Amino acid sequence: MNFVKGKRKLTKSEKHSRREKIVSFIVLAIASVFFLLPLIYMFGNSFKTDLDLQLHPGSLFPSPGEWTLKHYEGFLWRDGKIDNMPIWMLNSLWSSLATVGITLLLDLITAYAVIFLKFKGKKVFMNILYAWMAVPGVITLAPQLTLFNMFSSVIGVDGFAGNYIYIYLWLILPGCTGIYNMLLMRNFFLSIPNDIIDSAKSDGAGHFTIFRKIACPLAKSTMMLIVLFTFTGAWNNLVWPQLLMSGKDSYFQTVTVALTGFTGGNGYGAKGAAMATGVFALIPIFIIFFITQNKMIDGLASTGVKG
Amino acid sequence: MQTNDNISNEEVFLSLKHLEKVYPNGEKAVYDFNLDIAKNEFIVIVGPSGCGKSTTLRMVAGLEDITSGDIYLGDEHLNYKPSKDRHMAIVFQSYALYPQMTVFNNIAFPLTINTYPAPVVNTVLLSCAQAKEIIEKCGLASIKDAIEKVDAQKPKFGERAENLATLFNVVLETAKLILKLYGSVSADDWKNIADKEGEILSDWQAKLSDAESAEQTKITESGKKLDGEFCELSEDGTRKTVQRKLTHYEIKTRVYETAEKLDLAPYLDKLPKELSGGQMQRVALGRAIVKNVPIFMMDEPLSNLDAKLRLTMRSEIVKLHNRINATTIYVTHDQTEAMTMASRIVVMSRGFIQQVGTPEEVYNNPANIFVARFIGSPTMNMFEMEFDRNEKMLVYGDFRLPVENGFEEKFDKFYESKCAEFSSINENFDSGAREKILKLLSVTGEGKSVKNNSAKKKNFVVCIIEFFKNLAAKKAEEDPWLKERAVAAEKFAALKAYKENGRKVFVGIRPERIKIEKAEEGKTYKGANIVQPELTELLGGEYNVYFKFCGKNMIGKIDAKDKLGQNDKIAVSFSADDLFVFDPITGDVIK
Repeated sequence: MNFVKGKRKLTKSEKHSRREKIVSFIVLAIASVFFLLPLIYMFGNSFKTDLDLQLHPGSLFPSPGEWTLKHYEGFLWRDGKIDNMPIWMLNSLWSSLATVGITLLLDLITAYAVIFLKFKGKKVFMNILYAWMAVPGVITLAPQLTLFNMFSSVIGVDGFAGNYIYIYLWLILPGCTGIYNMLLMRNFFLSIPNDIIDSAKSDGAGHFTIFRKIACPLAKSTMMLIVLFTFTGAWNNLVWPQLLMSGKDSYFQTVTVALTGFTGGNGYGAKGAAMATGVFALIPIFIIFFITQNKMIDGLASTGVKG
Repeated sequence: MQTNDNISNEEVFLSLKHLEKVYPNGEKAVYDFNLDIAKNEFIVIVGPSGCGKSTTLRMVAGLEDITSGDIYLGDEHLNYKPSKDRHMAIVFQSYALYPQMTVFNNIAFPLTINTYPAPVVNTVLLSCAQAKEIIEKCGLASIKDAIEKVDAQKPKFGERAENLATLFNVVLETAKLILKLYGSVSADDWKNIADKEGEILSDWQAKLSDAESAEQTKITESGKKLDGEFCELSEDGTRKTVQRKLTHYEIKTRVYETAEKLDLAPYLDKLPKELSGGQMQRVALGRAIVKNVPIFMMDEPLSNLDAKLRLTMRSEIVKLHNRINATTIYVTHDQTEAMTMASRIVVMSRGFIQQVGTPEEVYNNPANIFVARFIGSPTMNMFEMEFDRNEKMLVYGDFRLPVENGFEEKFDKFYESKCAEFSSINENFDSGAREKILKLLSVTGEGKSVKNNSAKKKNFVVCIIEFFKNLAAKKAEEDPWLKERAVAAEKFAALKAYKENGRKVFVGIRPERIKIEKAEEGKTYKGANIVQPELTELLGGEYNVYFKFCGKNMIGKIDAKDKLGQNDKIAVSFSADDLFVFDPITGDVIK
């Protein structure tokens, strides 16, 4: 044995893995530039003065001494009253959270039923769901919109509150029917060993107890994943809310719909405000992401069972 | 079937009658399972994997639907009761602990979700009476000591009263009451307790009496009746009971009790993933016993443990069974476990019960060739011999063994009855007869693929192709029992031939009954054959010896006191008493 001090020669596999790491780092770094650049540009330009925006549109950050919070101030308070921006944020926030909540509930219940209950037509039911996944969402937009208008005239939706509730009902409910999330849940429930459910049954638990005390706590990480997916999906949703809200009161709008107001023809020139709105719109997504990402680590389901 | 021989009718506790299980895909897993189980029996169902033993257990536990047959617990018909109402607890091979719960919560789970009948106790009166008793018995100083001792452990919120209650062995309300009384005395008074003791005591007594009399008036006003232990009585004089959930304190005491029994107390706060296999299995056992049910079921609970731990857990389970006076049904594929643990063994193969009996019966009088081969380690030696009627000898080549008197009669009788049975089977081949044939095959181990082909799962394309084929050919309806019919006819023919000039039999002898001696040079061994062992395995105290005897591979055992070298020879002899003789056609025992 020789105990030579200093660096030891790397073995072949170590060299190999190091090379792999370096290459992947470079590739990811390049890729992330493409993703990050618009974000940084948006963030920096939201602090520029209007003049600076005109003079130096290409720079990432404001010229020295030209930093301003003007675009942000305007959101909250304008001309002695609350601006639309907080209202849009609240609209987006509550409708997204409602979508997340209802989706979670539906997914959990459906997945549980599909895995742990016996009922007739289970296979047919699942096959319909699978087939439904093949239908692109865009296709259903037109019929949905027609139904939206038809129901509205049949029921006689009226007034500010009535319109608001009706629109958000149509915004939230279709967003909760994603089958992909349900299948995620289903696959997770499939991985719960049958013995655990059997033993809970013989311990005296009914399906409701098993659902509440065993299946749901185990599914936490999958639930987090669904929360993240659904929330970002609902928050970023643009086409459908835009269709619903066209020609309606501006108070009804969600953040994403409002953002298009800045990029569209009549919003031209309010570049700083558009950037600031974008930054605002990102905040909830970041928060949700940081809450959920740590808890998505799986590894609970199989630890209580050796097999 | 030879199932009900061992226990009389009055003793029957759990009774399984004609249990059958057919899976939705048409496969039959259990055929006509009959078993009466008495209280405190340790029944072990043993068989090779896939023989339907777990299915049987799951049917009894209510986790699997019963296709036909009945289960009775006492007079209670259990078939349609949900699992939780069957007064049973089941322990799984995989332990099935709830991974997200701590050990405490795992054991407490059945208690937290169920309601239990409990007498309606007037807690105010009970606690006052208990408190008075404690004050009289212990005196102020020792109460103070006890509370200080509890406080010294820095109890969490709510635990103070619980710990005190455990210390004095009283109900939680009493502990709370004492704590309240304790708190009402100022710190200065506690310092010079000697002067004020009488004052404080009389004050406490007065307070307790006040509370008691106030409660008494309330009770008389409402017209309730109480007995000596403050339980409410209903109109006919019996104690009133309510179905209620256990309180947190009750659950805690029961879980701690159980944990003590199983040495789990140090692990109560851990998650299952932090435990070793043996500890996990103990938690699973704990979850079963905390339910306080009369019947335990265990589905190969030791299979996941390592060999050493398995031995310890084996004895612990039996000890536990005896300690809590349980009735246990235990499923395993390990015949050693069956032999060592059981009070009665049920041997199964391919869905059929082969034999039911005590370990000695199953070992000494196996009902058929399957049981003989399955029970015992190493496996019983089997070889074919001819029965020479004239000389009354079992013959194989040069090797001859005399048979006892009366063997010939037994032999003839056996074949006569078998012939009669098979002729009736052949004449009237119904589903019962088919099952007999299937059972026969399960004994001899032949024809494993006798299954209905139609039951097999086909994919969609194959289905369509077959549909068109059938359309074109319009096949005549196939006889689903074709194979079984053929087997029956074949066996009948063979039996008839045997009856007339029967010769061949299967002879079995257990390795530990073969008389083996180390052969020394120049010595003659009377009635023994000298052979060269092919392989010897030292087990410590004894050798397993593999040798060829008249061209047959055999295993025997020999004490390891004399060292057996590579070139040593052994003298092998049998005694006719130790032989089992089986019919090669049906596999049933002749002698």
